Amino acid sequence: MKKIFKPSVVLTTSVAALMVLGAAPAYAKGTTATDATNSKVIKTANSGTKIFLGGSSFDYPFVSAVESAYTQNSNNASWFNAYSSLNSLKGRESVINAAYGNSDINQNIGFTDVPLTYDTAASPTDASLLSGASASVSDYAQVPITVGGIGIIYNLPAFTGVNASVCQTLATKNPIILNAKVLAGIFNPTPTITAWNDSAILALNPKLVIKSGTKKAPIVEHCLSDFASEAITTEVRTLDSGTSWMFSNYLRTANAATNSSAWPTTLDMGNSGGNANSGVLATAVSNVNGSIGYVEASYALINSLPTARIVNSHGNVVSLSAGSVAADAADAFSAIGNNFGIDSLDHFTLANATGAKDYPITGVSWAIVHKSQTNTNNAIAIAKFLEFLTRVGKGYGQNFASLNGYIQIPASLSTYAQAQIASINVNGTSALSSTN
Amino acid sequence: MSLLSSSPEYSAVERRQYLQKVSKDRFGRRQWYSRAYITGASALLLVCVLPLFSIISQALSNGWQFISWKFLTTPAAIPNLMDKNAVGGIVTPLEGSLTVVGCALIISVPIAVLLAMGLFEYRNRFMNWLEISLSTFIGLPSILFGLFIYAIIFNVKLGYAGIAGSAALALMMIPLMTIQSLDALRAVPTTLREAGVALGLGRFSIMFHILLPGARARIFTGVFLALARSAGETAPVLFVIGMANSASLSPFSQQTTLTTFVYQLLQSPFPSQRNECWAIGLVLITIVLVFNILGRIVLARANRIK
Amino acid sequence: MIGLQDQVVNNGGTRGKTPGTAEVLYRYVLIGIVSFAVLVFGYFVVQVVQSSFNGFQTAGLHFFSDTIWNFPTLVSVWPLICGTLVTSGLALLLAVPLGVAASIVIAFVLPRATRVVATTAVGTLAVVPSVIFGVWGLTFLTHWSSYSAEPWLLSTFHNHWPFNGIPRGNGILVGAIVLGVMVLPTIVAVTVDVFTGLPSDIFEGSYALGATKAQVIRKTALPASRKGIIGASTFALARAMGETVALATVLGGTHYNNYPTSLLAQGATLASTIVSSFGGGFGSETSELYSLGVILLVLVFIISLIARRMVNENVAAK
Repeated sequence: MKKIFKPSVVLTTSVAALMVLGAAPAYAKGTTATDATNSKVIKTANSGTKIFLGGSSFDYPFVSAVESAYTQNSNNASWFNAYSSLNSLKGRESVINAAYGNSDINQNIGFTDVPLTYDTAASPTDASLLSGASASVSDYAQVPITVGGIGIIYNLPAFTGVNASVCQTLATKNPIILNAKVLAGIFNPTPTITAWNDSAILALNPKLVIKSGTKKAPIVEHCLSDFASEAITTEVRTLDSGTSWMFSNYLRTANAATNSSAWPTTLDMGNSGGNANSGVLATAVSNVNGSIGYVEASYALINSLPTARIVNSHGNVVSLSAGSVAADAADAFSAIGNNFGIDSLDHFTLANATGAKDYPITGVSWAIVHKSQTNTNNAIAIAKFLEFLTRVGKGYGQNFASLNGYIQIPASLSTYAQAQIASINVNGTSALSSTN
Repeated sequence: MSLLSSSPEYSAVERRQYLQKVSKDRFGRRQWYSRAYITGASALLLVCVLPLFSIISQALSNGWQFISWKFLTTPAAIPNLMDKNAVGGIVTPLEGSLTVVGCALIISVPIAVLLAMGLFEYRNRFMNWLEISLSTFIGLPSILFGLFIYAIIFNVKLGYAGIAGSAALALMMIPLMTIQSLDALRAVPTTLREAGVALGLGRFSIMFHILLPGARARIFTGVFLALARSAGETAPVLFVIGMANSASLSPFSQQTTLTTFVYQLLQSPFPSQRNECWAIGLVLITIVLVFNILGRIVLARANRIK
Repeated sequence: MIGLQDQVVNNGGTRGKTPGTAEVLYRYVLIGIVSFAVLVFGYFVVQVVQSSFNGFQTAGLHFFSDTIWNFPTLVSVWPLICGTLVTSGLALLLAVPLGVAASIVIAFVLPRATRVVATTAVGTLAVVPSVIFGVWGLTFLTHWSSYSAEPWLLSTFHNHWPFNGIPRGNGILVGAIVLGVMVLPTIVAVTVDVFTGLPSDIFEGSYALGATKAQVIRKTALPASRKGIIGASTFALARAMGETVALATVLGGTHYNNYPTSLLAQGATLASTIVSSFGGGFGSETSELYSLGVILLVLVFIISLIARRMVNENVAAK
């Protein structure tokens, strides 16, 4: 049982409403479990092994918040272990060959930011995992559960020199602006941009200057040029990480769109020695002066780290917020239309959106379950939890999205999710149709 | 020294000369070197004490805010962005620690004391070798005991349980307690043993009526010290006790101990949970200190009686 | 005299008497317990070794011939052994001079009351659980190290090896500091015992010759206790090599490790890798971790034997 990364077991206090990401308000005031809908309560208590929930650290804040609300009911609590924040590959492995979690793949729900067979950088690859288990992609229900944005977190070195305090104020008020080409230059394994005072970064941040001198002979001093000897330390994830995959996808798409060769299309983000999960990466960035990294938005919020503003494909500077992520999702999904699915990258990626207000580094995250279950009560518990997780409506899981740094999945995704959940069956009978 | 007292053997002149020589020595080069040496060593002593101050001050400043009766009696909570500081309490790991360490004690004390009695009574090459092996086991990394119990769990297809952690801790404590009990038995004066023999007592009576009461204090001390050590151990129990669903005192259900709980919390991205680690650290240090002090008190009282 | 007693006592009876039931029971219980203990501890060694066979087989020759630890695909044990030896060695380098100096002051300089205070202050460190050292290392030391200590080292030594690299906060240096602090109380306690156990006539002779305190300590006390100090240090080394949890949180090495290139680099030890890579199940990956455990067992065992030999020589020499 993977205990190393599990948070503490839960019975949570009641939930207060807060506006967190600065956009549309959302609010859940505790779940009233008196509903007639059957997914909020699992009627039979569990007497056996608890279901393993784990995998992607991208989903961890969201799923664990939903889980803590769901397990306020003691019957529900008897079914689920606390979420294990690992990485997307381990989420997939828990469902294909039970390398993580319970030894029975039917008792694991794996969370991953990249659906099966699309991650070619991880080792072992999905293809070898599937062939090793004599399985195919269609054996698994892949349920989209959330949409979130990846924040580029950074930790600027301390300003020194005469204008230090002014520069500090400026830097706090104006988060660093970066674009796809600069990001590619920074995060490339052989980086072309290695210092904070690189001209490309200076060019993108015109507000971080101190003007002095006279009108005829103005002196313009850029704050970042203070960092003459400060190298950029890039904090990356391992290659198993789904967050890495999402970020690579963005770098590929955005750089190809501008015909920049800064990020080759075959290159993948991350390396073997990278950080184990997003929490560790966030801590590393807050500890190392002059570092930069990429984590899901909630980690930036939890650790109060500033996120960079990105120049999107429209040429606008956007900062990471619920509104900008929602705009990106809306644009992308309207382009995808009814074709949403995992059959083709274009049908589930959000990196192609070109709206004016879109925050471009966004993606969908998934829960994977083995379709053909063997134990009826197990299957019902899994199906109910996933239904609770993906349902939009008062008191259901998606309400916790924006409070935690994600956005609610749009209606098209919710329908797709429900269809996938309906395919979870025991001997052909759909689990959700049971009256348990 | 005798020259300084007004001894009639030395004349006043000789006394004065000696005093002059000595007072010059008080400011000679060797004296300065000696003072510098001692001062330097004292500075290093202060450096040694620094980490303790650092730990205690960090623990108090970060963890004291959590300590309350409620903290010790309510279950844990998960903080999330809606409530970053919701940490709840530690009743689950507290009861887990109590259960796991308590059962370890119940298992290991009889075995250790009996083993010490056996090593005491019968001596031959094999027993010598056994004693040496046991004292080598004291220094083994504790994680190996955890790995051993984990292998047993998988070979015999048992589940994770608190009692498995107790077994691992007992394995770790037995060599330590055995050697200490053995020393305790040996410390009883042989005259008492000879008196028992003279009275015609058998081995068991000698042991039960003479040696054990005499060695009792030191054995208790050994037990307390081993207890203190195992209360603070993480690695042996980490893999075999599973995770507690709710606070329970049953050794046959999965448990979480204070130490494994801290290990989990350290991985959390929430700063409030990392601060909670310090609060649990205060609780742990208190428990371990209490056991240590109890052990020393018992020892001091026994020495005083003797 | 003991032998005569044994002949007389002879399992519970004086001459002519048959042993009572308590005596007979006593004898069998003791034999049973001793056999049980031997069996259990023997089984312990056997089981751990047996569980590692699968791992040795899976890892193959790479285990001892390669130089990269990339769990679970390509595993070689040398980076971990190097990490273990480096962190433990550095820890001793920090702890032994500090500990001996502190013991000198405690044993020879301090008056009685202060001596108790100082011994308690250093001894309380021994009482702190190792996971709290991990918390201290992770929350306080890494921050101090990445913001103050490591930049200072980098600038003072101008990036010269071994003080080069990126100041990440965690790494070999902080791991060595945490380990050193953990073994310090043991070294101090044993050294103070050794010092107070020295016969006082050697000191009196030196003082009579007019030596200063420092000269007495340096020329008589230290040489006389050298073996004891080395024995204590070796025991401390064995303990440092087995330290698991505190290093797992502070060293920062993930499942990929090469030889640590500098003091500021991250690394891993045998014990810390076992804890941080443990995934569950009992397949070949877990078995590889048992192989690490076996290597650790052998290493610690050898060092314990060496330490015991040294301490016994010291005792026998007296």
